[in-house]
Amino acid sequence: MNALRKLIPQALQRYDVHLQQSKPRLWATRIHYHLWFLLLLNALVFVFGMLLHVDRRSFPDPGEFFGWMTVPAILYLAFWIYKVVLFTVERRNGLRLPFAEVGEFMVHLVSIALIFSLPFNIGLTLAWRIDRIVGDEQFVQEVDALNREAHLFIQGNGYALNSSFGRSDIDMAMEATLADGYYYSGASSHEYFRSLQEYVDRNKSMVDKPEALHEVYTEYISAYNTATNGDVSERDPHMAKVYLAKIDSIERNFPFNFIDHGTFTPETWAYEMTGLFSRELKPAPFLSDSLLEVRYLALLGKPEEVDREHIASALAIADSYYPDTSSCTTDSVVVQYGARHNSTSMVMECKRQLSRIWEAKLLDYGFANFWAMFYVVVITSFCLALLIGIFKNIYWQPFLISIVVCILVPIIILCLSYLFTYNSEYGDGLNPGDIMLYSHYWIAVSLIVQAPFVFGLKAYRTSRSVMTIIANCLVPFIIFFTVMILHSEFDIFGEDALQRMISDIRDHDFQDMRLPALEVELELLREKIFTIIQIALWGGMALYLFVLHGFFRTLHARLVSLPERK
Amino acid sequence: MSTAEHRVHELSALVHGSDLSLATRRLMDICDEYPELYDLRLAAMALRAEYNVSRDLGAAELSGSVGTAFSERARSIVQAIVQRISSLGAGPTHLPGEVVFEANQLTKRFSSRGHRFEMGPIDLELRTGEITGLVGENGNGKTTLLRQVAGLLDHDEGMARYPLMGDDPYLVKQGIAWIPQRSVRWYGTLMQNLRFVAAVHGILGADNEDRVSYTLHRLGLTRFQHLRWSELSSGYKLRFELAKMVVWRPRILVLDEPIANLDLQAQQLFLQDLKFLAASRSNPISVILSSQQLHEIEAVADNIIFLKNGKPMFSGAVDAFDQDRASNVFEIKLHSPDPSGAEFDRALLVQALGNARVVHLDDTGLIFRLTTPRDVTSKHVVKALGDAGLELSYFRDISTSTRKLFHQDT
Repeated sequence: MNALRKLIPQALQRYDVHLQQSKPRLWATRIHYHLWFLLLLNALVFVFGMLLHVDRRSFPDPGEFFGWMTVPAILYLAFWIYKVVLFTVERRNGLRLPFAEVGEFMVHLVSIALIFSLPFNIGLTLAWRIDRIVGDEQFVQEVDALNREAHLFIQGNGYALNSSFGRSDIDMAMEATLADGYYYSGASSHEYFRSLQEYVDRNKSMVDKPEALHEVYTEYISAYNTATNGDVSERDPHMAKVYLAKIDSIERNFPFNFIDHGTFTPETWAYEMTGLFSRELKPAPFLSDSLLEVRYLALLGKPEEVDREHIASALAIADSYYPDTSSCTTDSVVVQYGARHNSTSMVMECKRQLSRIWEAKLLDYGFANFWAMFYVVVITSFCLALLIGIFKNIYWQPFLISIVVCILVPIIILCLSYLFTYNSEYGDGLNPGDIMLYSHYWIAVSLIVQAPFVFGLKAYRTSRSVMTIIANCLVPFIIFFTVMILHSEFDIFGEDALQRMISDIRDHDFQDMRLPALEVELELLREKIFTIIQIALWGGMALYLFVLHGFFRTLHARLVSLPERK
Repeated sequence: MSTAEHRVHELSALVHGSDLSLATRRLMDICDEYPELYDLRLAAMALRAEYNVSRDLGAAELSGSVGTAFSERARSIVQAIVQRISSLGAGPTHLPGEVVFEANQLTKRFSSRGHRFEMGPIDLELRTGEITGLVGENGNGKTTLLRQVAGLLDHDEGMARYPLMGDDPYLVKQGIAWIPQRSVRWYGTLMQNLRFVAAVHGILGADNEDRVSYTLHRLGLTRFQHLRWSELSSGYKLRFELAKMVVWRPRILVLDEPIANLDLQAQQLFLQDLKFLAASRSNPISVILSSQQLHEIEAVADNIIFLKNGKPMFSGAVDAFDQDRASNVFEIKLHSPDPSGAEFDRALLVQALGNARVVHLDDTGLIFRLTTPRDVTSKHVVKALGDAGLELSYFRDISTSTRKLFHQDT
């Protein structure tokens, strides 16, 4: 502790004394030291993030570091809680001011929320550094360059050529050609076409069209793999031989395409932040599929004109992102392409690296999802502040009992619900889930209703303390729970009814003129329900904070002031 | 003599004496009682601070020139007080003697594994400015009664109320300071705790600084202000508990066996401080404490309660105890060269006290307890023993002490 004290500037220590003497409740929250140490820790985390090795070929995963950094953040949180619970106004029977208690709650809430800055700091620092590995413009150019040469680097799932079962002449011949470890290309990234026209029209053949060739090819691959490597009953050397010949025929006689909006393009669409609270889905700034197709089609017409410079350039770009491409030469790429062999350049592997850089550029991480994190951080901080507020102001024994009760009650209700509703003759009776839901809900309501009776107590009662603690925890969310139950179980907003009506009409006549208007109505209703649920959630929390928090604090203060029975 | 004159007289006597510790403490107390003497209060605090530092440095109770210089400064402060105190108009706002706790037929029952215990019924009234001593053997309900006074334990029958503090248990607790027998662990430094406790009771800003500083100097805790609970001896833990309570000026101070672990000097110092704090003109406190040290408690207490098997054998003013007695009781121990010669001592005593009309002479094994008719006073007994040439190593007149009640079973 003394060592930590040396890290605190004199001015802050003087301010600490001032707070202690003038604003004891605020002082007890340690917000001033908390902010200072968070500043120091964040600086430390930032420096750590800056010192980590980051280059194109190798860099840490910001999401992973975000996860790891939550461990020291939790340790710091534990330390902070320890410091915060040491001094309590109510336990010293100090003067109580309702708004001061709300302020205290808010300070706790903000303090906890700020602890989240530690994992965010490391995650965002790393993401920022990864973003700066390569400039946006250069990155797009390099991705496009790789995509233009994509068809030369064959990559796909192999089929079971290594199976010793059902080997044929063809197998043996293939094996001979693949003595250096080549695999035949597989199904997932290849689309074969009978003609260029079929290739051009492929997206139009959605319904009532003959099966596309690449679909036939995929089926053959699957059938071959089953015949050679499936269950014993499915193995058939003869059929394997037949399918292998068919596969070989398709591969040798039809052009194939593996451009689908750029093999190396990390994401087709991406969210982009357009403000602090808003973001938009925007297309990625890479060459479009159609432009790449034009180039591909042109190359198909002139297969002999393989541009070696482009291949070398693509290999160089890939090498800068992924180290194992350097062992492959331009010549080997040309040979492998001609022989329909998988590329040994590993150039496709750099796609993963490109994707990770693109993630960093877009801040496309779970932890950077503003609204998700907003909910997580605020609701977690609110709940922890709630628990700390209770723990600070009432005896720890009922607090502990409350936790145990909250763990045991669901188990007991579940067991009882099975016991009372199981019917061996007719199967299960009532849905145990429903029983649990309603049991919990009514227990919550009864706990909240009993809370005011604490004012009538003449002596301390542990049971009343436990009930009040649980009621205190539940009350901010009871409106939200009520709305959710009424909505999901009783359809009070009529969403299910409207949905059913639309389904019925559609089943009867899917071109019914009423459908568009009803669908718009449904959409509007869903927006309204979302708004009501949000109001119930945040409104309940606000109501608790500004109205009911003081009430429960008074209950706790009264409970701990009452004389004990023994 | 008015209170102010009495204070001046007391101070003058103290600063001319040799007990600088007491003199500086009382200077602070008296200046604190009169807000008009704030500047002198600061001077007294400075003097006390210097005294504490000098004592801590081992200045041998400030003897010699250092002590003389201190005495001179103390006298000059007293002179200033004398000049100003007479011109002061209205006295302090709070007057001693207000009832802060009253209980009628207060009863508490415990039952455990066939063992039943009933404390009470007890009638009790606590007033500000008074010290009430609670005595009795172990397991006779002293802590039970104290916890009830402190609002920590509910009663089964009877009535208890706090006239100045209302009915809300939280508000009641705001006026009560409870110091249990075993100090409950606290966290942070002594200074932090004092500042915080004072601040949460509404003593803020400069007042907080002043009050904490005053308390630290007054109780001689300045050099311990940055220590933590684990770094203090049990004696200083108790002093700190006292500091933590008096810093916010409670109405009732409840102490359970506070001096049990203190050495003799610390006991006297502690009880002396309690007496002065309770009798403060500006912030009188009602003190109730339990103890086994009967004589020390009787020396400082205004009222005494003796509990036996949960029942009050005596409850009233200390000097009202057994005023209508028929006999006097003395405790005697002779200076004997042979410690085992009790029979010899007894024979000597009987012979020496022949003229003192001995009613009883009991040998407790350690001392003799002599009972005489009421008209035979300590003067007669001592004279008789002296005339017989007996040397005394211990003599105490317990005729008006509740100590007599302890002996009723023995």
